Amino acid sequence: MTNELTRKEFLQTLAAAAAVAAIPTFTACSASKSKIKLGVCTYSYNGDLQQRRMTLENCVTDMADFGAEGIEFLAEALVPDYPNPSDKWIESWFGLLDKYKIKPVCYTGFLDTRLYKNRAMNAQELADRIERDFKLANRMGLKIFRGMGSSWDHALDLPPGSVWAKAGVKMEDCFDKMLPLMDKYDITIAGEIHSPERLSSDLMKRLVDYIDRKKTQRIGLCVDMGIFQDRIRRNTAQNVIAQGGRQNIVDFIIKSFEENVPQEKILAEVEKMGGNPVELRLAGPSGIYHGSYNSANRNKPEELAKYIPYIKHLHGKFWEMGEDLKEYSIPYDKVIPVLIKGGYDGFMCSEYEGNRDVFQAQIQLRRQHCMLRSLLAQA
Amino acid sequence: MAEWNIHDEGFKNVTQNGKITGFQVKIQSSYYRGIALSLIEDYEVTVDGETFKQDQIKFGVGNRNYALGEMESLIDVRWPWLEPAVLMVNKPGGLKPGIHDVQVIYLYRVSYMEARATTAAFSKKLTLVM
Repeated sequence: MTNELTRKEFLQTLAAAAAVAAIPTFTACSASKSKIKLGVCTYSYNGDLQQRRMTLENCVTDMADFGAEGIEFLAEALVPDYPNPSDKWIESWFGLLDKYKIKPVCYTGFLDTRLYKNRAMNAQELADRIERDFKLANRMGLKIFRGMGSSWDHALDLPPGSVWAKAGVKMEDCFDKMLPLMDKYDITIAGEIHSPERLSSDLMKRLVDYIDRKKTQRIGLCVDMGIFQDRIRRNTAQNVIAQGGRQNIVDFIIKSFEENVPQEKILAEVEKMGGNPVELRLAGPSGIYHGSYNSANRNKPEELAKYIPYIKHLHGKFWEMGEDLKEYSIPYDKVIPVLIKGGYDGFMCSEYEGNRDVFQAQIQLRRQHCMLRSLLAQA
Repeated sequence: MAEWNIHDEGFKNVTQNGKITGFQVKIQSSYYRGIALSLIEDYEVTVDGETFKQDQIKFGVGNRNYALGEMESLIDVRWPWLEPAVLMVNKPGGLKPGIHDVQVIYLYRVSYMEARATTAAFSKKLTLVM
């Protein structure tokens, strides 16, 4: 039997497919009334970068191809000789952005508070450490530093009894030391608000209180759209099983999570069940509780409204854009109107964090930008 | 974890002064950024069921090999994200040519996660030619 179709058969197949699958099209991929601008985080292309299918230039070419205006850049991944690249490299960076008309927007930054195994760093040491990143961001023309945010609690105060928690360094102490450096390097920190953070948390209050008290424009928020997740990612269980997780244990973890069993308790149970490293990771704080919300713990898009004046940057986190041009687990159609109404006028940079197989990011980013443009056009 | 984390290239016996003293295997980070060597807490390599612990392995980046004990204080020496680290395993006589089941595990601290270090585990069948 042959697999080849005649031209007539092929055309008939196409016609049938068109009749059955109503492929969604959006009226507007043109100018939107909202001032929100769209960009892309280089993180989105990690699968292709790690498997050597794409280079940084390929990423920039790609985002320009579907109309992104700006780039968020993960320096610790991509800068040769980080944190001190050559002037020649900096020149090539600007050359690349200029060639494809992409604006430098945001520096994806981190702070390794646990840099030493057996001791915590004090606020001044942490500020000295982050200064290297501020300096690099400044050289690269990136004025926003996305980092820490809701991670401060973990990085400084957890787990109780550890050298880090005992040191008693507070987020506010670190900001006090960092503010003069932000002036010096013209940097604004957009503290990343990432799942499992709740918008009603004490940490959110502390962040906003600090900004108000200092009356500073140098610190603000970067809200990650993942905080509005309203159901578990479709491939959560599949991925864990593909990596060696056992069905019964994975099912137990997901069921316990949905029933709002405390994370430490799930982990202890899985340890008792003889959980393997993959299963323990799913049950651990970096597992299902890190990247998800259950029904007892969801953020409502309307809760975002009061924070909009503090938002300096947004993370368009997503995991799976379907052919219906919707994110499977994140209700963008409910969040974008809140942002528009609140008058947010900065960037939203897409962060694709789904399947890292090669060729996925390009498909997924286009679908997401098509959806975002449509939602913005409805303003 | 995906197979690209262990490289086919670079899997070979290591010779010093005319004698095979061990073998090497190259691994590429599964994380999303390069890290300081001080963040690496442990590693081990298992070949066909035989496990080699940290005191039998040196961790090679940037053309230098480090013992785990030395790495603890190296906050400014980095394992770049896209650059494979070369694990140099001490095994007099080396491995026999042929296909081997290779597993590499390493642990590293992520400051914003739990205190328990994050584990990366890779495995792959690799062919040793010489």
